[in-house]
Amino acid sequence: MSVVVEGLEKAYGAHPVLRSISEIFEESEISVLLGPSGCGKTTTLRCIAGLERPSSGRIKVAGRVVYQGAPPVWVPPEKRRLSMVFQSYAIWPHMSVFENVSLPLRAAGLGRAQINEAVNDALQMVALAKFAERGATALSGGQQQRVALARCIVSDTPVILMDEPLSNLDAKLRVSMRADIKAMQRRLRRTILFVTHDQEEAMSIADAVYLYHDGRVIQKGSPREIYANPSTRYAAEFLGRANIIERFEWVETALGARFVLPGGVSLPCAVPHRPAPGSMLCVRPEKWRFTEADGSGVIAGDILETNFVGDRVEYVVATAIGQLSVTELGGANRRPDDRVGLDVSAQDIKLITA
Amino acid sequence: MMPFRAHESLRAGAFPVALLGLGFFVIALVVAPLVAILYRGIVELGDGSPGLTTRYLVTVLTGFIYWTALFNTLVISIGAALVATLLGTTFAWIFARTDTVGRGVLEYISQLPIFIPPFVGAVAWALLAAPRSGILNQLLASSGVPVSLDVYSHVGMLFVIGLYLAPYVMMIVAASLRSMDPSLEEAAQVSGLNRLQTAVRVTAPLIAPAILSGAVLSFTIAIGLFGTPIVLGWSRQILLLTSRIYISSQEVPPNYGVMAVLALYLVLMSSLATWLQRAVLGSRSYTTISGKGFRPRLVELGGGKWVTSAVAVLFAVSTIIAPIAILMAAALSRYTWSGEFALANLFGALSTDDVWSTLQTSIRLSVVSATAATAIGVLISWVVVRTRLRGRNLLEYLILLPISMPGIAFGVGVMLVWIRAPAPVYGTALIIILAFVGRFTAYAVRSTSASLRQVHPELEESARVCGYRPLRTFSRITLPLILPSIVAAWLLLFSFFMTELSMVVILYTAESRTFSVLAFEAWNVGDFSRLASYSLLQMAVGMFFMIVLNAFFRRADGSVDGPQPTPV
Repeated sequence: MSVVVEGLEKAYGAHPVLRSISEIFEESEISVLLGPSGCGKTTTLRCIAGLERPSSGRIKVAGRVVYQGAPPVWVPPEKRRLSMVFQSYAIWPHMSVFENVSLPLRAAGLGRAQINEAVNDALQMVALAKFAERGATALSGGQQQRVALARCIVSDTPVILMDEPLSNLDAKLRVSMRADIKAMQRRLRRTILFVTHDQEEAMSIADAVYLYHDGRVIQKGSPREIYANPSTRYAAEFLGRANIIERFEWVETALGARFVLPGGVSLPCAVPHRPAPGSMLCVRPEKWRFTEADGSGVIAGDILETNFVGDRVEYVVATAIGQLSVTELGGANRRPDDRVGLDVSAQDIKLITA
Repeated sequence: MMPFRAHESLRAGAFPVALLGLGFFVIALVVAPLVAILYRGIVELGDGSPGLTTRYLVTVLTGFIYWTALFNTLVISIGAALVATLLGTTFAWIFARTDTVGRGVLEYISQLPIFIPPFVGAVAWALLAAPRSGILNQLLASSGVPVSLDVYSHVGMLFVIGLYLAPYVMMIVAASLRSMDPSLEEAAQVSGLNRLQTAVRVTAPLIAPAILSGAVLSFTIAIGLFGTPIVLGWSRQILLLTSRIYISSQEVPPNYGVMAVLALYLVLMSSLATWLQRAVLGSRSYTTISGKGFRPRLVELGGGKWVTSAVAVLFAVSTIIAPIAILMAAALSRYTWSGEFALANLFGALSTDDVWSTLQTSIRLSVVSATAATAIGVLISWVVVRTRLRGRNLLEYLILLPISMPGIAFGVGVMLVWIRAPAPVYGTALIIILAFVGRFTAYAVRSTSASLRQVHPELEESARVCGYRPLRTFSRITLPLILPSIVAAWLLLFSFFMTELSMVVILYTAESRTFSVLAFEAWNVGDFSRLASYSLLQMAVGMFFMIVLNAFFRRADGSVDGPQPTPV
């Protein structure tokens, strides 16, 4: 019941939107298509749904080819047996909640008793059973979102597509809806493709993240893997915050390899061989540790800014290699202009490419 | 918001065929009449082969009567546009921005003149203020006031026309005033401008585009008016271009070349006005229109709120109440001002076979034309808004072309297209339908495409993913959502067609005489009593549809939370 795309390409005129995407979106997982707007993630989803016609390639949904460039295969959206949650929720304003949710079943020609039962189950699951007779537009944004979810789960389509489903909700509601979608997924074990531009949302909801950049998937993996081992500067900066060090030298010493930076700074190194030219170093802000003595450790610096955000403090530290972002959990009461020393472990310095 | 997307899956299939059909429709019914005017004005169609000629251009350009007609048209249209703009803007401000007593009801009433056929308004004002015989002049004379009104003059004509065009300006400017963010004015006051300075420096520039639009609209309507200038200008032979076109059409044989050149004049004038408006507005954006409903602070007029109220009442009296009263009085008299009134006269005038048959013709023509124009309009809107088909923008441009075009000019074009066509269209009722549909489908397109743009494409896409085929999606999702605009367009067109005179007067024949032609003939023979009865009936039709339209829109707006359909 997985979704497979092979060599998927799409162009608007001369402008390519998808550049040969070949991915398997695994069965019963939440696959998150992540990237900034215009990167091709929504286009991928719409091609899978049949709302856009790709330029070439092949799409298989649950083992069935629904699109193929050559020889041509085209299954219209209504025959693809998918469900989809749209960014605007797409709740039909001229229908009641019940009518909205029951439409996929009516389209499939199911009997009345069967429809009533399935719709009631679905509404129960999203806690909207009491609102069945309500006009769909008389609902709040969060409730409309849940109607859209109910419409997806009411029929037993194996694949659910979600196009930025939470982007129109306020921050609190967004977080609780995330949890709802995850809970729903644990119960129903459907294959979910989830498009978002919000990296935090992606990391919290995904089994697997597909990171898009300019019409390509540039990295995929579990959120943890991608965060810990970004392969490129783009991946490092899109998922979380990162200190990128562009200029360094890999030096072999008697005590093992070191990264030597301008200003006489030397960082520990776990890389056993000389990195390829154009490589950069990446250190996540929380990987820096403040040392006990001022100015000791691998780098000395002065605190420029402090930003208290509750459970942690974010610092900007001016050092010989430029300004560094440093995050400390809880933490001491450091102030601007304090002299500090920073340390980092060799395995927390990641080698990335441009 | 996401950009609107087309239905990908509709690219294939029988769709290009439908587009081809639409293209053919637009060319035959919209483009051909325009081309025909141009062609017939400069090409001689004798018995021999067609050849270029300057004969008609020379006739018109050297004829004193045509220069006079042009002069009259300009003076009266510009004057009327000024009167309408002045009145309309004033009333817009009174209703939208002051605490005038009864402004809600008064604003509603002040919009009603739009639904009074121009011909009918002219007839009423002829009865009210014709020199000497007009009832107002009789009242003035008998009370010894040494002033008299004269609607059979340039000033009288432009005043009456301006009066009936004022509501158009008022509606446009009032909408602009209402959609303006009041914080723009509040910011000016906080910055130290007093109320007058705020009005001059902030409010006026912001609503200037709306005022200009209103002025241009009234000008383009004014130059195309036929009934009003004929009724008011005939006795002193103050003839306009439209009157001259009509006179040429009555010659035996009709002077088609001159009609074409005069129609061309009208087309050029309306194009010029529209172009001028665009040039002046240029890139000025309408950012005041945010779509949000603001509640601007009202100006407190103190005792003045009764004065503005009285002014608004006076407007309603002069455009609606007095005209209705005078038409009633005239209709109930056996002959004009016999002093004896009897209901039997009204019913007598309205119960003849002539009335019955022309009314049937009008209704038949209007129903068929309104239905055809609305259906085609919906189709074109859908193609323009929802597909990526090549040529859709050209389609929209062409269909909207006649919207500011004087009806009589378009009527001349339609006549010229079909008069030599092998198909037996000229001289039948069909030619009137073709003219109506060609000229007015633009209104249906505007109404329904605006409404279609409000329907988020995801509503349709969602239905497709849920298992609805394209046609079912259109009929179950799209159509119900834009239904109010479709019904509104139909009602509007129907009420237009029921009283249309300026095209019909060029195209009708004995078998396709409409009710408006019957009324026109009654004026021709000077039977004002019968004319008043007919006018009342036409006015009743117009008002009835205005009220239906209003009621319909209130219900449509309210029904979002209204009665809920029952589940399966």
